[in-house]
Amino acid sequence: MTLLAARDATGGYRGAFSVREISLEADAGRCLAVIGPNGAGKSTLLRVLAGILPISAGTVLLAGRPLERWRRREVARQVTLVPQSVSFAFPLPVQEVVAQGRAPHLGPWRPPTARDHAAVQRAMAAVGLEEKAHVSVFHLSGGERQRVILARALAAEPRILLLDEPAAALDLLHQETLAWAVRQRLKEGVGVVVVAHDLNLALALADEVLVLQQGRVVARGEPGAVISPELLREVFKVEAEFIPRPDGSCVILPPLR
Amino acid sequence: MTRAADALLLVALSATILLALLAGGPALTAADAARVLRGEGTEEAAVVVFHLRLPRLLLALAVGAALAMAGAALQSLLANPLADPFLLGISGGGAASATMAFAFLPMASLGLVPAAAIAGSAVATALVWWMASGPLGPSPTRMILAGVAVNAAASAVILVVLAATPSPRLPGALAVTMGSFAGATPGAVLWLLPYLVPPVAVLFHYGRDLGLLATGEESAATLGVDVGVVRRRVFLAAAALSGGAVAFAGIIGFVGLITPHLCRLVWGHSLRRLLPRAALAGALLCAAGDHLARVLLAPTEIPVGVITAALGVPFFVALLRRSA
Repeated sequence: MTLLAARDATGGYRGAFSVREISLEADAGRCLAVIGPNGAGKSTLLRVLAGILPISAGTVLLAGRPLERWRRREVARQVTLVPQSVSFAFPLPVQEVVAQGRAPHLGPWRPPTARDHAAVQRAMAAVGLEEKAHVSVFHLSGGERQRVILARALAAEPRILLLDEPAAALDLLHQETLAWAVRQRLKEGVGVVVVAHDLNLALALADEVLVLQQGRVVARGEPGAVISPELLREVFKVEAEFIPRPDGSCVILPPLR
Repeated sequence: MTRAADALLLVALSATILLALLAGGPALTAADAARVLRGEGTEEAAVVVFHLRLPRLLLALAVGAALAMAGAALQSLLANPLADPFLLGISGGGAASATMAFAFLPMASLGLVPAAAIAGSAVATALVWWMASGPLGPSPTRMILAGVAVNAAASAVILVVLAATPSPRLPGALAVTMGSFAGATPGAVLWLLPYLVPPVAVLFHYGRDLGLLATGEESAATLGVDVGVVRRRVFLAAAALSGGAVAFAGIIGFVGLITPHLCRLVWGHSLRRLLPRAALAGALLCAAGDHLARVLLAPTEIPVGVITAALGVPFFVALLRRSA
């Protein structure tokens, strides 16, 4: 079932960073990975899909209805974007930040209920943050902060999760935790769109890959078929090594000179 | 801990209110004032308490609450701990306009000074908004920079006007720049209400959204905040609170900056928890500051801004060091 779909959508920041004529579907229980070189418009695309950046042509449909006809809070109840980083102006405790994920469900006045508290606890457990619940975000490492932001998004219990470079600051253990948490959500029927520089993460998680270059889709399909030495040469301008694994998949090693 | 702090705040505020009414100055002994409060005093004593001390006290409480709430909201709205009505040029714009009115309006029209201050604050607010506006709306950083620029321009205007002010008018004009509750009348407090009640309702309504905005505009938008609408309404509400405060009491620095931070250190950062406490703490700081301003060097009055800074800064430093 398609939850979120772009139809020839053009949009983004006015000027340099826009995406053009994008068509894609985010389906329930499926993961779409968006890859491409720096400046290709991957993060912009996620913001257009989340309704944060304006669309100038085409349309983005949420549950079949154009995004601009939904109220901002209604969109946020269903679609959650996890940005690469969040800057905190004040030393909020971790639990308070994660609890912000419930805001779209609470509106301006409704106090949180037991269900909201449970969602917050579950989200913190999913990324291994229970012991840091009362620690100030000012005292966390970059990777821990990234997990806090991910937990905040999980607490929102969205139908569609848009992840922008979620593993960028994570160590190996927490990359595994992240992959596990995303797979759990996929099993629950959540649709996931993930922007990933780590092509191995894309290969491991994605059911489908979309390749962006200069704001346009240049390739789309099954990860194993799309991510090839030719594509990396053409789009990323690198000669990467593909190392086969016993299960038939492969690991990509970037060239290090 | 927060319950105890709540109780302490209420006790301190009640004590200050009582002190300000009983021991307001040399015109009346505390015993006479106490008789008035019990409904037994002379008519002259009742005039001093209800027409001089009470309006002044109410104005100090209202202005302190307004500045502290405006500061708390602006800090969260712009995700910047330094934001306050003064830094953003709103107080400066009001004060520049009010000093001009004091210096140059005919004597009979001095009642228009508050209106001039509010107009000045509105112009400064519009200028900051216009200067900060980019293709995606005003960004918090640009708003702070625009505020600093407007504030600098307002300071320059104030200095020029003070230099050109005829000497009989100078004390009034100076009082605007240094802050004073001496001009309080029962009418002033009533006039302040429209600048107080609707903005406070706006700030409470958007309390949860403001908490999200303190983590950045994009972050707030992903959680359902209609950033453009909230930014516009909250900024206007904070500007109305600050403009009203300047109109009736001049510039009182530090209250809008330090009070919210003091309260954040004790009660945390949730705006719903913070706003009422900041309001009470700001009211306490201004009322206590005004009382000390009158009695410390009586019959000379010290500018109340000096006292609020002298009271607020050591508290702030102590709490900041303890929480570091």
